[in-house]
Amino acid sequence: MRYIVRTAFILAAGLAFVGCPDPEPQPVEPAVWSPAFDATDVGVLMSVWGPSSQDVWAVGGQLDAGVAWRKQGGTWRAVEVPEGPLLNWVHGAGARRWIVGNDGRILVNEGGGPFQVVESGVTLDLWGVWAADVDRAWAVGGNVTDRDSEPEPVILEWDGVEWARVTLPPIDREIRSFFKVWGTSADNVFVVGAKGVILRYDGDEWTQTSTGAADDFVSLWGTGPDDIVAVGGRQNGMVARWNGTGWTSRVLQGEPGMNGCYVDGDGVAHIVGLRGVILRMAPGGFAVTRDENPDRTLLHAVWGADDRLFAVGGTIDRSPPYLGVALETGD
Amino acid sequence: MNRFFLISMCLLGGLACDDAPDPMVTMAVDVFGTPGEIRPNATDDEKATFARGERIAKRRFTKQEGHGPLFTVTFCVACHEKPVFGGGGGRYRDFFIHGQTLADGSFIDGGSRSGILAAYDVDLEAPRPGPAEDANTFALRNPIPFFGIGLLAEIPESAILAYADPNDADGDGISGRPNYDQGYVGRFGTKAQTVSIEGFIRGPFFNHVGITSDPLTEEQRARLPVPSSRNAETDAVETTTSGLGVARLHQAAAPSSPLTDGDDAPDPELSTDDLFDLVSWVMLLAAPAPAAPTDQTRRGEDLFSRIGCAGCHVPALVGPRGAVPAYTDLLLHDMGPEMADGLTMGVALSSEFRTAPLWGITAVGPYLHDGRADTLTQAIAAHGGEGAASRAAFMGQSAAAQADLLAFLHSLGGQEIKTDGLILPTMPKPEVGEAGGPSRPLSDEEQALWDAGRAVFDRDLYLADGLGPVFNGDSCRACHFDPTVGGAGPRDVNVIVHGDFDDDGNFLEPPDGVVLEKLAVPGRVRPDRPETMVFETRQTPTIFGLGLLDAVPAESILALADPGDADADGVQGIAQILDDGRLGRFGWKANVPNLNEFVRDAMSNEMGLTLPDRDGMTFGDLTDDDIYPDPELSGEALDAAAFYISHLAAPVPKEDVPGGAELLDQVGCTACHVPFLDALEGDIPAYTDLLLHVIDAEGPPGIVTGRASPYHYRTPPLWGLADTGPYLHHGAATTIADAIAAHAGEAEASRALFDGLDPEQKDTLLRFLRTR
Repeated sequence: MRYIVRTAFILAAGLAFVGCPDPEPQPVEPAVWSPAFDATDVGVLMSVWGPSSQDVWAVGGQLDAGVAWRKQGGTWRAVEVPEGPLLNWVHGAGARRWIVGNDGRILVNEGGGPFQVVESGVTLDLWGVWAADVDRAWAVGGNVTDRDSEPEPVILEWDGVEWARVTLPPIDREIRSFFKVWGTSADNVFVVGAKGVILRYDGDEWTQTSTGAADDFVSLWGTGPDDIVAVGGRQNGMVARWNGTGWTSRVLQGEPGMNGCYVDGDGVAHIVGLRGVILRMAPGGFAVTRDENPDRTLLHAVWGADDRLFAVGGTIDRSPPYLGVALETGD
Repeated sequence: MNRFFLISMCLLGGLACDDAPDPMVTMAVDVFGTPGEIRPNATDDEKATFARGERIAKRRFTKQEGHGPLFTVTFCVACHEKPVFGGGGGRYRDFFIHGQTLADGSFIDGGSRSGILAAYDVDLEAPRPGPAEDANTFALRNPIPFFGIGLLAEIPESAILAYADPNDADGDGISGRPNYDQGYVGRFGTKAQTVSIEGFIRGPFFNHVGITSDPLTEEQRARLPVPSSRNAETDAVETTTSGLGVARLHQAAAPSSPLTDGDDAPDPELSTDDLFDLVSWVMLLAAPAPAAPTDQTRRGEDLFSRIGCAGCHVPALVGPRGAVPAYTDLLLHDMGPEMADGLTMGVALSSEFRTAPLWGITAVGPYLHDGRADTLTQAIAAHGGEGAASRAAFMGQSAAAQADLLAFLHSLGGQEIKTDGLILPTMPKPEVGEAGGPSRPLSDEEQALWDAGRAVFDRDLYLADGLGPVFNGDSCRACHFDPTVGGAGPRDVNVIVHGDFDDDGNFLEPPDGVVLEKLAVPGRVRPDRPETMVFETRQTPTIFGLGLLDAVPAESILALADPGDADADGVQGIAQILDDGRLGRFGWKANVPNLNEFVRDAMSNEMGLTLPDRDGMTFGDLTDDDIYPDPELSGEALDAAAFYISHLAAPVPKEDVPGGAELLDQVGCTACHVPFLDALEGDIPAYTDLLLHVIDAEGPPGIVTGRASPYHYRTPPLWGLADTGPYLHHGAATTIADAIAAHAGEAEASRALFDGLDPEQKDTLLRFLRTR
């Protein structure tokens, strides 16, 4: 027994070291999550976002059947979208809502009207979209699922009229795909992708930034030009912070790969990933705290507004048909 | 057993803290056995699962089943066969991991298979995959054994972390830190990069065999021999019917994504039921049973501890069944720049490696991650970094003391299966006339020579024997083992040859020869895929009965030739006459004139051995550019191998199929597959004319060899067909029916006649061929 106690002490010390690589600042308090609605039969939910906590969108579905859901007036309902493949991400600006998905699918919704298919010019899977304003948006993707095809990472730009491919800058490694795009303005946009690649657009040109990482970055969010968090890692959780001039990357030893990130107004990063893990990372640092989440289903995205958080995911870590999950905090 | 208990407890106390050890911890029981066999404590259900799993591990996958498109091997235990299934692999099963090391030191996997540089592509026109364009880092790997890893999977993380000392707080020069996989302490792989056995199987199955799979379901994980199911409510591992629970759900942290590839077979290519059996088989493999201690091994054990080996090779980790004497801490240690491989995996850096378990070590050489050590002494001598002090201490010992320590290592299980190749000491010798047996009764002197030749044929070459520097096999048996030693080989030992053509269509042999080797010794990189026009894959044929074919008079073969198709039957048959006037008869292009030259050719081309000069012999290399003195193979060994091969029994039909031979003749196959060759000692029923024919002028072209055009191949004997699939020179025909369907050119008429047979006749003919 003495050995067991001793081992437990050592383990506890080890875990403390592993889980909290940086002593400053202190971890933040965890939140309490509960099901937002029964998304089991919806299919995997890949993305959640909205203009406010009272108008929230979630998209996903099955490989051959994309779906969109919307929360209005406290109730989640399915939204009609054109038949098509899995939908991967949603974002918008003003009254315009963009949804992107597999096989180059781009949908747009103007002021609450029906969603329309917009020609993307590509058949590659699109994993992320972000709109700076109604006339400027970017979508990113690639061909990550077909390992035997030629790598073809892609960035598309909406100029108010059409989507067109962005000429990629030189990248120091071969990658198959970009995964998300996010920015603070049309002249400060970041794209994260496979094998540790993060590109930045300064309004004039795209350049690769140095991350010191070799694992996939899957998503990113921030509060401003000097405070952006990227997350990812497939084997182990990985985070990186942008301070306005450069990235600092860390492996979250003891945590699985991460898929989604949202940074709230207090600078607290909410990070979700495999096995239903939900982390909170303190402002400016790397200290993390786990939120309670009894559901071990993979989470793919997290977003928040007005002190409320939403997280979605599903069994995309299994072969189809996918089952979904949708969580939220607060009443 | 007591000594392990005592030692483990001393070390647990000494390394983990200063407290006295807990006397309640006892050795795990009923888990030791002969390596490759099931744990003694297995239930009847587990025994059944183990048997099914082993069958899957041995199953040869075909293109139709999803094999490839890129692959290194065709089945699981291709790499885990030494010296029994579940073990490691000889150097011929080595592989390269490659990628790009960036300016910041990070490593990017090359290609689409986690950096694995595949040896083959199912595409016959481009069968040798090349490295990723920006690859600048290549690391060699030798397969590691699986014995007892189900027990290692059960070890709680706390037991591993108890030995971690990442900053060397105790100042003993040994640090040790965990790697992580999906947030859990890694324990498998040379860099402890994988936490779950399921992951340790699914990943390599995809990367090396090209077989896709889905994760096991939670229901299946709940039934695995090692607790692997997670409780959604508590995030803890479920307790199984065996009563074992494991802290944290590390076994449930298997790779979470379905694997897919771009071939035509639907994904997943392995069912989760088969995956369950395969994972169970690995989990149930017995731990190597340590030998009873002797005075010498006790002295060695004491020295092992005193010079610090046990600082990393911790004698036992405590699991739910008790102490598990694997002699590893499962942690990463810095082995110094001399061992660095340029790879980072998880948190493991280039020079960091997991402490290799030592149980069963005597039976699973070569040693170290890249197999650079032929012997345990060499392995110890290669230790750097945190192992440097122990290495120095060992090297400073007397020869007797070193022998004590080595005896101790050799006593850690596996002695009963120790062999120089794959022929176990317990295996019965094949009888006269059997597959792999002598062709006739031998005198005592002949039997001794035959036995010696068989040992040469089977033995895995050491680096110090002159293997390489580039090679395809590390023994003759490496390619000739189906269905037993001396037989044929699967697609994963195919030989690739290549070359160019000038503007006038003349064949240009590459400066380094036509053979494009797939492997290289440690410190060297395999030949890159060249920019040549043609790549020709060659399947390994059986060599049973080769002595009989060697004895066929040239006149008998020449009498069958009809290069101008004088009889207008559409079948020609060209004799391969070499530049020196000799008639060629062996090899897919019939370019080798006799058995002795065939042996010399293979020894040099496939293994990189230099040979003694012999009058009248023109095949084989006399020198090479490695550091070992030439000739690297002695005349005695060469002669013994040649005698053994020349006296291997010819295949015999397994079944009499009435009407089969007549149908073969009726459809015209016997125009090339001549049923009998005339020889002095009687007719040789090999079903070949040993001549060159074109049977597929529309297929991918090969190289030119003497009179053999890019489309000419020697008629392969049909004897042994029952055990020598896949078929045709490239091995792309999975079945005999596939092979017949691929016949065109001179065989067009015969194939058409076969197609016109009624189903019963087809069945009879195929059954006849399947039983040759």
